[in-house]
Amino acid sequence: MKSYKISVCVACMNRLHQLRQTLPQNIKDNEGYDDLEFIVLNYNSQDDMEQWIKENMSEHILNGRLKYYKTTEPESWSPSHAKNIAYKLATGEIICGKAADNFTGKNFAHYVNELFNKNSDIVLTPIDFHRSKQDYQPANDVLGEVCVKKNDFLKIEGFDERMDRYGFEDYDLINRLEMIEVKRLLIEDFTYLQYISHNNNERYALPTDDLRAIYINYHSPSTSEAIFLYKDSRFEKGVLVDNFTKDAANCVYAYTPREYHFEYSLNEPGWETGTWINENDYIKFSPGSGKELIFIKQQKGGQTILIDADNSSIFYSITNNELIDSILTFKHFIYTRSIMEANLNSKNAVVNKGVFGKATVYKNFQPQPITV
Amino acid sequence: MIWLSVSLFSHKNQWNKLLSRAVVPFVSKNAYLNGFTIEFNYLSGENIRLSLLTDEENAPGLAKLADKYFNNYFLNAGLPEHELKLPVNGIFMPFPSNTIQFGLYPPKKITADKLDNYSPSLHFSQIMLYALKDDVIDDEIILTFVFYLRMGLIKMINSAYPNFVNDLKNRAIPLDTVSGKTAESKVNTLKFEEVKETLIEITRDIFEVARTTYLPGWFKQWMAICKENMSDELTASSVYVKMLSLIDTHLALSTKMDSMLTYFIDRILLYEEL
Repeated sequence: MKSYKISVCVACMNRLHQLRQTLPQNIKDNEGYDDLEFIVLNYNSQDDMEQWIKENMSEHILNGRLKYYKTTEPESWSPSHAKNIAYKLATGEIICGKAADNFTGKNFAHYVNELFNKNSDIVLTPIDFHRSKQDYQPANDVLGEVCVKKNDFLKIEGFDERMDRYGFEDYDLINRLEMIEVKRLLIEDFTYLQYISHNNNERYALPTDDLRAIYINYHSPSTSEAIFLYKDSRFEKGVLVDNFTKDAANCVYAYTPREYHFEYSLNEPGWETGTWINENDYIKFSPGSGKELIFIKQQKGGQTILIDADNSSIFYSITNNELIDSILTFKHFIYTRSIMEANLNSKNAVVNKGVFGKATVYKNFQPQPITV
Repeated sequence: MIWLSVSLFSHKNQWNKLLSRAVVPFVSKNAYLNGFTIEFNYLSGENIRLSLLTDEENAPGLAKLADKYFNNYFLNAGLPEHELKLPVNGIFMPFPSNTIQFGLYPPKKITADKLDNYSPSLHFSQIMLYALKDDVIDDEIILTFVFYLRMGLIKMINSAYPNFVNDLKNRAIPLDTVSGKTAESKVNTLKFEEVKETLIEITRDIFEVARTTYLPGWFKQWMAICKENMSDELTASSVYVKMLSLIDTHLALSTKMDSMLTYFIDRILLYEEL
């Protein structure tokens, strides 16, 4: 059996509290596999990551098991960009992407090597996009785990860097690998899908600072129209759809599973954008294209509502924090998911137009910059 | 075989009528039906999930039949309409009450050899029908019903594992550590004082042999289900957790109700002689 050189890559920003638990354990759990390196990318982490690596991981850096890189350029977490840098720095034939909160599990490298020996044209993932296995439900915390040949990763130019926030970049990567005939193989042994549980606040921040208000017009149990008003006078308007409750009066769905991949979506043509002006008793919306809209402001039950000129639509102001979070979360994921869906629909295997994972990094605390 | 996914939307205070006047007649004489389960549910509005087990080739016919039957029931039952108050606490409005909807949870294909896995749910649904069809269903009724179920479960487990009640007592949180410390415990304490006498009576009916004649008819069936689900391979705790999960799946207890029930049972276990 061939012994592939394997690189376990971890890109990390402000997650030292998890890395200090997983990295030493992961190195220990894979001691028995010789051709293995750990690539840790400090993606401008503002915690004490560098100090901790220096004080606790030097032995592994000296023996070459761990390669530590740091970039000081990024201001915020961009998972596609961060992972592209880390994967490009890997020298293995097989790259295994792990998050700071993921454990590899004991003898993970052996497991990966064995599977790639059986079939080298595969990508290992816990994402069952085609729902091929009933009751296969790995935790969301591990869906970013992936093992792919570096050549295949480079062929499709890595993660799509337009996806500059958490969510769906992993789905998209695997979908595009399938487009170049790389076979999706599910990680079925949950020994290799262990993780440290944590809340969503660490994964993504919802953009509430620039938000002035959210209004909802309830159309039906499966569609609602939402307007987001921003402090800089921009607005976004779109129709949100719950695919799992759509057409529920049709008795065919009593025995036919719904074919949607995701519970929620945004109706075509997506977000309508433009500017808004607040007057005393009305709000004027000027879309980028199309007619201006006037909505009259009224107070009902202590709440502001917007009624359009012909009284046909009522938009309710949303003030409940939990509901605001739900709508913003919906919006957050729709953004990255729509990029994934566009790549899928247009069979766009190669992204980033030749430029991806660009950064200046520093290796193992050395002062000389390296351009990736 | 396949479990059809059917949801009957109706205001909770009409659920007993829906069960007795529509669900019971529908499931009683239906040649296509191999079994059914009922679960209370609150997603997208108050509703009862009625899962109908049938052979795959009969699925379209049974779904159409259910559609026609329950639409007809809602049309003629004279159930009150409830005005929808907007905005609701969600992104989407709930389904209108007095309607039937399909596929709001996934239909599931199963093979005959897996049917046994559904046995507790099938039996528990029968108990729900018997126990809850006569009185207007509200939180009070559900709370009392679950109290009976949990106390019966404790008795049954304790008869096979005689230390079980003592284990529960040891795990119970003593009164002085919780009482009045949080808003939740204040509510639980007040409620307990209100219903204490009734709960003690129920507990005695369950635990004292001479009083078991006072127990409702469905209770025996519940004890039989509990017994069926115990085996030498399972510990007392795992049986307890498994059966609590069965109750919760079917009755969709809120966290608040669950906490209240746990508080009541802790109080009874710690301060009453069983």
